[in-house]
Amino acid sequence: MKTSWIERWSEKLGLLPKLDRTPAPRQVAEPLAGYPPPEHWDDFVEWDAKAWPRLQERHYTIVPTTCFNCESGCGLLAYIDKETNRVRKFEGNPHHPGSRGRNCAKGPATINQINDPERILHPLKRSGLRGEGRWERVGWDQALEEIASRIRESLRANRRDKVVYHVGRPGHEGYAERVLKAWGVDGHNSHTNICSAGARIGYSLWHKSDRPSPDHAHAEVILLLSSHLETGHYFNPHAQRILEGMMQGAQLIVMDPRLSNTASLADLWLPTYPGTEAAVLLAIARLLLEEDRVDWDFVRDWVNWDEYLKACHPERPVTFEEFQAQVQSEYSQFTPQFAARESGVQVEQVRRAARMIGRAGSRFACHVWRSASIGNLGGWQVARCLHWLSVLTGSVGTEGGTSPSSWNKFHPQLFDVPPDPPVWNELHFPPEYTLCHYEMSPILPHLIKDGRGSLDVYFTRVFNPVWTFPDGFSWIEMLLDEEKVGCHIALTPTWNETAYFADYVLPMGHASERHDLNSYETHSGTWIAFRQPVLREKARREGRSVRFTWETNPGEVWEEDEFWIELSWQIDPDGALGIRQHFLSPYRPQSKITVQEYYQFIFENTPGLPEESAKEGLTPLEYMRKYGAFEVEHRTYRRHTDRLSTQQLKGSQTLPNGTIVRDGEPIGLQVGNQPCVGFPTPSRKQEFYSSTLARFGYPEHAIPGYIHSHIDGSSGEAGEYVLLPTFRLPVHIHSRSANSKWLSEIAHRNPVWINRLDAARLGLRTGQLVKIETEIGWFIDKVWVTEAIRPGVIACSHHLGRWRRAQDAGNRWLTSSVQISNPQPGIWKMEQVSGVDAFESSDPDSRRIFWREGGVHQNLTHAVHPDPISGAHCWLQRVRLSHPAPGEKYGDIVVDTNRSFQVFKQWNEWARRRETHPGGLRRPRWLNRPLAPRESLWWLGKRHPRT
Amino acid sequence: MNYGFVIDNRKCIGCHACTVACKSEHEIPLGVNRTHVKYVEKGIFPQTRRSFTVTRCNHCEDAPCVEICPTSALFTRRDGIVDFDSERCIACRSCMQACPYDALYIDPETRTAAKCNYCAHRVQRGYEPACVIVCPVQAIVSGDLHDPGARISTLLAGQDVSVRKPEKGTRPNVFYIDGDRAALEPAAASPHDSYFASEQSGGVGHFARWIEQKRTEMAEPLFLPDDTSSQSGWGGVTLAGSISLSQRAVDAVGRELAQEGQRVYDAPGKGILWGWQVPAYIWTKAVATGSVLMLVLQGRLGDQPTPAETAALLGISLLFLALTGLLLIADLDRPERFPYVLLRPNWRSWLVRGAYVITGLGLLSSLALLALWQGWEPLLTPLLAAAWLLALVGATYTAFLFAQAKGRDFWQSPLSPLRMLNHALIAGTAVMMAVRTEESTGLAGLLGVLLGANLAILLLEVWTPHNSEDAARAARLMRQGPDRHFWRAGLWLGSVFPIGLILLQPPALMLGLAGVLALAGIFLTEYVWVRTPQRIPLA
Repeated sequence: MKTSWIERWSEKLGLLPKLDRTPAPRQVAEPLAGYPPPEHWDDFVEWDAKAWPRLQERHYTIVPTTCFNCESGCGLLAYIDKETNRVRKFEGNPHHPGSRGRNCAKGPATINQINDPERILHPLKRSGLRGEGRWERVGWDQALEEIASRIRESLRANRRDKVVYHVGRPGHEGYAERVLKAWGVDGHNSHTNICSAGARIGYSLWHKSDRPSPDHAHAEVILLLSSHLETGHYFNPHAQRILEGMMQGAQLIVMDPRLSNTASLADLWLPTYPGTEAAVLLAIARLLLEEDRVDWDFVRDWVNWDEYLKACHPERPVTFEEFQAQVQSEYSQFTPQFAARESGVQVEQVRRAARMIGRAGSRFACHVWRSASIGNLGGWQVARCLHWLSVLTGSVGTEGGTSPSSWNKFHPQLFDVPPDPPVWNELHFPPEYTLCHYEMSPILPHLIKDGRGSLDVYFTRVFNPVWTFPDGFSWIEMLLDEEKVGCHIALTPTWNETAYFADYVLPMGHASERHDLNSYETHSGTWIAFRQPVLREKARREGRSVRFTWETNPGEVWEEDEFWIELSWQIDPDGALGIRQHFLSPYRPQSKITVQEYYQFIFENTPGLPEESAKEGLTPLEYMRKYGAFEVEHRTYRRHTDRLSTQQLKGSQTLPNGTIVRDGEPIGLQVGNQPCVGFPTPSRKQEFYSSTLARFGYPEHAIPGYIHSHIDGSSGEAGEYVLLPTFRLPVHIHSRSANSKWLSEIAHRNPVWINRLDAARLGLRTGQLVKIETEIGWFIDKVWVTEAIRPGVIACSHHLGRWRRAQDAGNRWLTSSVQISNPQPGIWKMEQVSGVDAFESSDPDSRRIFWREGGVHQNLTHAVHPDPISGAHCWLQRVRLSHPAPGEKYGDIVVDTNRSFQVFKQWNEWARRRETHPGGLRRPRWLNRPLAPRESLWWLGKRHPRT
Repeated sequence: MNYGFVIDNRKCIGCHACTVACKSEHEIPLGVNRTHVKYVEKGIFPQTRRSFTVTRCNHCEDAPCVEICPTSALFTRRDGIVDFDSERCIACRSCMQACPYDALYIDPETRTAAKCNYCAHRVQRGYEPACVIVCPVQAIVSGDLHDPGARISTLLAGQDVSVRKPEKGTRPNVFYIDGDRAALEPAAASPHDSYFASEQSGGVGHFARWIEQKRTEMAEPLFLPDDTSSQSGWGGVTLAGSISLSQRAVDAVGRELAQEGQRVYDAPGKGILWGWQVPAYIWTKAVATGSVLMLVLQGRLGDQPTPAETAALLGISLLFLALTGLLLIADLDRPERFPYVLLRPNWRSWLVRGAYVITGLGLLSSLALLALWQGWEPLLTPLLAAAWLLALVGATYTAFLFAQAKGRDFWQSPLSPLRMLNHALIAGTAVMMAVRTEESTGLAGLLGVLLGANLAILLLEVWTPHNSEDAARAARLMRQGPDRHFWRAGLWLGSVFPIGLILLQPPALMLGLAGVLALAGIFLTEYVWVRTPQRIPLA
């Protein structure tokens, strides 16, 4: 830029500071590139963005890792400033097969979490009463020793169901399960049953794999009962591929009572009344059958129609023609008119959806995740019914269809697999929930209150049930009772509402401060990705020796992988407990395994990786450190047609229905004259008829069907509505984004969405306060009047309403300050003392917080609703709306935990009444169960058939 | 070479990844954004749709921000990128008035203007902007619009595209495939101070310092056009509605403009950027230039002011020029960089031209005063003549500066120079009346005539048809909006009432009152003229 003579002279005369504006060298490379090539990753040079247009070089070491802000494990590249040795920013990793260099807002926001001025940097131990909020800093050695001795005590006393690791966001492949096995405890608990349990059992009953893997990019029609264009794993990888498919002509159908961003992009939005989704899906099935848009060849070969006929129509001949006739009449009641009446969508829309799906043939991809399947009593049938459409269209495992998740997820080979635990934890898998998928975590406090057990050592790991789970006050009650929870250790990168009630708060690393292996079914293909502590890797590249990851992390922030190794050695100092032997190096006899060796072994045993690495003269570990990801398989269609080898067939026999059995276990399926592997079900087929359901006491639900939801019949009359409390915003991370200023800035309040018609009826306007009464209490929030929700339904985003008490620290970007009182047993009150407010910190941005509303923590007022079959918490709530009484304020919450216990008992009773154990079996042997205990324990009492 | 963006709305999923990647790349403070995603909902359930629109600097080929920037802190690179240099910026915020797209903000860290610069620092090394590579669905396409082989050119050739506010003649280089009118046009869906997942209770950018300084006193009505945060926000007080008073005022006047949709997410509002200092400086400038104008005019009319009167008028002019300068400096977020206006000048900017005129006027007036004092009679006349010319330009140039503020439609009024000149003459006459030692009903008559002309100009500016809907909205908002009391006071107390007084031919003291009211009227009018058009959202 040419400056005027006045400026030049003024600068020469010293009237003005001289601005050095040497023009940057012209870049010749064209067109612009996306990412620096790996050969520049050791010293990548960039102009400093803030100094620009003054030229200031920045030298970066680029290290790949993976995002930890949802389960997708998308690739990240950490740009580490060589001068400051700090991560400057995160961009996408183009070598990651799932995310392909791209990220959602949560990826680049990782830098906020790393630099959060309020992050926990040192281990803390409570110095007052539990929950009192008084902490003292302790050393890791002390924390490890004290925790180890408590665990040792429990193991020695054979209290093996009382040492529990409760994980919110795993983000690893079997690491913790292996540790728990090594300890010999049945101590794995998760968040599955507030999230995906409904969908999981629905899918599992079809073909064991508990998740779908839709091939969106090649589909012609995509049906989503989810909002994968904005949330959910695997949001970013799936959104990429959904749009890829759509740009090539795929049509998108979305079923959601609320206009999600996903629904907004749909060609057809079906705003079904919550809980009626299955009715619409079955009407579509009926139309497909009626209009003969069915892939009958697929159904004949791969579906267990014979079992259906034998069980449901024993008087009829077992022929395929008979099945075709019977299945038509089975669904004859599901007319489009019926579906329209139930769901509130128009008949023509149902027909249109069926026509679209019918035309797509085998290129029909679909997904249900959370949403209807986790919202409703019987929501698991939604997944059953949705997959029924995949089966009818013959799009199971096809290009553009939907595959079982297991085909697209890699299972690593671990260096050491300890034996299955010698104990069955009935707090996680109570006998009455025979089919739950998986642990009954939402009712843990209630089971304990019911006298079914207690916990000695309770690890919560990146897990915040007080806030994320329903009925948080029952969790607080449980955590406050030291008789029930002997020792609570929060392993967390950031403060959270559950950590306030811990005995130890042990800081663990964020995405770029830890090791993990990731592999998820993002598309047709299989990949692994390596989450690694980037500063440690940089140190390694520079030849500096690092023993533990915490040495390169901020403060004394550890990573769990190393924590578990150290803790396990401490528990078993002399090896007498048989634990230590599972933490020995596979490379250095009798030495403690290092985290590097752990992954070295996995990578050396990953098919294709050693060969690929060798091409570059690298070891597999070096390859993964360099690129961060590896594609194991490229296209993985129609795996069920893989042939059984003669070796596998040795000693097998083929049953009349085609199932190939060896040693009493079904191993394949004879299709025509080909022995195929089939699907890993008892029939090795797609199980349209689930003999498992029938045997375990639910014969009426053995085929895909429509179960009326617990909120069925709620209406807008008399102020009664259905509350949809689960919808998510594209920028938030369950309960881990209050430490990200940029994400909090975009979304920080959760007013209640209400349709304009309902608002008019109730006399409510946007911004007014409304009181929402649930079965166990009430909360007060503001109103958001909108056309983006079905009348009769209200919705409130589940991300917001984070809080801290006066004595608590952290997350002030998004937490309101609250006061909690417990005026009488069971009655809990929360009042907001102040909203989000600007604060002083090392980050000047904390003084610039321009928002004050932090939302309302609605989950506290939700009673637990464990589905008797799936075990899923049924999130939808029947609520009453009213105007707040004088004195009731924004953010006020009142809950009666005695009442919530009664609601638990009522729902629990439904499961108990139907509790069935064929042959004494606790749960079906063939279905997945995390951390499966040894075989003999699968039978109640001593009824193991082989004992 | 000419870099631009295509935003492919067929694909945008509204995930805000671009917003955050940009924040990360440039370490942008809270409250301000170089790019963000606006959400607009349309239709009645179940025919409802939400559209997502990525907004940012348009890298205009005729960028008004570059033209108005007094110090060339904003400039267009040879590759078409409109870049900026924060070390040159004095933070006068003219660029924010000039940009029709609300693309600029004041960075609270540097206290200088900033905006999307196409990641010029990356482009220079051959890499795409941060928002482009992060986008999960590749809805943001960058590239050289002059390269027919580039993907961006293929898209432009094959798709219908729209741009924001093409009527502004800025020739934007951000093109939208499937652009949503309701989102691209600010008036189609009005801004609010709270949306479905966000709200604004405090000032951002230029106004961030208020929360930074006294974060407990958030009732300061500085951030939003006439906010309601003192009632909204917090503390359990039931909200009357999330729509702020100002917005309701805007909506009330704009009701005939059917809202095409509901804005449900947007970045925080930046508020009114030119506060009282700007009308105050227009006012002091009117006094300063008007005094000189009237000094000379009066002489030409054969009523030669006495040397004492001349000295007084020149003295008053200088005093008010100094005040003008002080106000100008005080209004800058980087006042210490004030000399840059003169010493790093962008000659195209009327801010620079005006600064030179004011400086020149000050010099000439001082010299004239010196000549008067020293009795250098022959010098006095040419000095005064020259001063008169500069005063003429000085009285009116702000109208041309306002015209360069392309974002504000109302400021494009062709009558503005006339109004400002008339204001200067009114001020000069009032000053003259105060300075004159002998009775002069002629001056009062002149004041009456000028006020009559003023009335005519004001009514013409406000009541005659406007060249754009935004200008018309601004005019309606002046009459009926939150600033209406200023408008009415300016009109009645500043013009009608003094005219009445003059017509009554009252004693001198009452005429003096007329003069004072006339002077007050100028400030009130300019206050509304400056303030109200800033209430019309630019995006």
